[in-house]
Amino acid sequence: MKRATLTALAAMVTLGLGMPSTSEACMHIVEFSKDDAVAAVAQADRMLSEGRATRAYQAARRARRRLERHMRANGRDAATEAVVARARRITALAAVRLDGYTPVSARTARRHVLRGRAERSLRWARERLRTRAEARPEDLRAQMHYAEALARLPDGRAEAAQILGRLAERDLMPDAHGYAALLRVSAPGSQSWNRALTRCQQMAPDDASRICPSASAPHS
Amino acid sequence: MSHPARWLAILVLWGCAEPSAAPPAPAEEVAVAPAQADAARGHERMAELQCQRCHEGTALPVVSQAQRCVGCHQDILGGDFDAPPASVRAWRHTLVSLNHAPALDRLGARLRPDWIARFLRRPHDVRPGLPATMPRLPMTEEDARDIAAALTEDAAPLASPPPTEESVPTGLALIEGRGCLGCHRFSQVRESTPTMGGAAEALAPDLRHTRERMSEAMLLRWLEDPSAVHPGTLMPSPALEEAERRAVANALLNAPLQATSPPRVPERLPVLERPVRFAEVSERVFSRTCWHCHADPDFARGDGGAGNTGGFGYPGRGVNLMDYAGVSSGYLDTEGERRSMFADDDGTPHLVRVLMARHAEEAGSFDDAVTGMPLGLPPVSLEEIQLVETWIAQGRPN
Repeated sequence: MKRATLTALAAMVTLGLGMPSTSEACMHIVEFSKDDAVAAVAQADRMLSEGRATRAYQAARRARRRLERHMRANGRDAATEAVVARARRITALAAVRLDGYTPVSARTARRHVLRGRAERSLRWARERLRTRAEARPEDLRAQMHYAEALARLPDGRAEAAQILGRLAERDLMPDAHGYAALLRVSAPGSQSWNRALTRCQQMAPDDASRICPSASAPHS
Repeated sequence: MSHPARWLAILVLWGCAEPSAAPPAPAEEVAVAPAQADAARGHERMAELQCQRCHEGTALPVVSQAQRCVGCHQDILGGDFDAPPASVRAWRHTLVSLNHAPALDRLGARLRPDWIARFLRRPHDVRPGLPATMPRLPMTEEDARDIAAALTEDAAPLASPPPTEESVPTGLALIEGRGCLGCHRFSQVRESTPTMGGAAEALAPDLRHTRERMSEAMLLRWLEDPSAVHPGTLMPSPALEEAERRAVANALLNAPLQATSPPRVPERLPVLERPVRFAEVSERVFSRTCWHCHADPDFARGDGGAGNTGGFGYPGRGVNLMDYAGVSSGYLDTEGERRSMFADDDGTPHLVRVLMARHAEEAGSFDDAVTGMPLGLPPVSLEEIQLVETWIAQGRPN
């Protein structure tokens, strides 16, 4: 009885401390200070932009599960749902950047790979990112992420080239990952390919090789 | 002075005047906005511009705690904010702007509507103790006139006082002797450094602007009993006799102003030779000031701030300055077209142009095509703008 009570209390404290409350505008910094689940999602996003997709995938999934548990216990609210949606976007995008090979146990991986898991994972991620891009037509990040997914699938390369080419032309590519995806769908060695590589390397964080191909070994 | 004594004094003064000089008739001052102003529309525009996020006394519905800029900062400073104590302690040391804002109730008794309308269109620093100024909000001349009418609609007309014989030097001596300069500056007339501190000094206007902001009748009424004009004001009763009030008012309205060189719009500094990366620019510029209004909506209940998802009457401009991808994603122009913040704009990257425009506004030069940023806050220093421009010139390395 005593043990069950303590467990319940611990769970309540953990959930209570870890959940977002109302916030707007500059209040986001307040949320980060109050809420480690929200901060974990933001941290996962940073890891993803730095090219650490596996770590980002794991961190976002953990944070998302905590947030979902909280909503099951306390009801849904817009603030938490926005952060959960972001965590889902991170896992989908990480799956894209891992070519569908998301981290799972070795046994599960073997079973799933045998059944074409990587491609299914990529197609699942593409659908998730497409839904987000359609819901946020003004969000260039959302457009770029969808195009990244398209660029990894044979039937999406033309559409990816169109979206990413437009962003590059207007100097509105959100980050180096967009140029890395553009390199995937461009003819290696062309003038536009070289320009995209230069921008990819300039826009990549510290270790550009995590994101951009080297000039001598272009992506296929 | 009692009422009979005051009338006796007036009669004696009339008696001393030249027989041919007609006594000045106590004229009705225009204490309300011109007839064509639409106060009801002014109230509607005030609601759209969200005046109540910073000001008390707007008669507008109270906004949520998260949208109260000044109220939220005051809660943090007062230790009443719902956040971990260590965070609240840390924020207290960095909160310098929007800790106070003047209340707007009974404004018609203390400010001229024509001045309010001009100020709303071209805000400038009238309270040197406050780091922030009234932001430049999206409003036409008609909006400003209607808002001024709304803010002053309850003002009762005041009779113009007869001309005073109290001298300006007497008034200046009283201003200095009664400690007014403990809270107020009186630039271009007397050099002084207020020492009072706190909200009283922060909210005390520079007396240099009194002649534009108040009529003589308003000023005399204010000097007689500030609390009666504006209950709750921090201005103490100066305890002046009527003649002293007339002298002080005369000094505030008519003391000669020392000539000053017109403010110059500074030149921007040349780009640096050393490498500059995003982390440095973000730490010194974007994360220090900009993200208050250009935040990430996902972490803020869908509200990315006035400069992202909209607010203070501005439509959403879609600018997120929280991270590299946000800065690189540009802004929405007035046609709703997304444009790069680094695009060449009259020989200057757009982002640099808006930062420099704030310096120009501080020097009294307003460009209708560009609103200076940060909105209503002191300009970003020239050295920090140099950092931003260097980063852009170097290809915006991450």
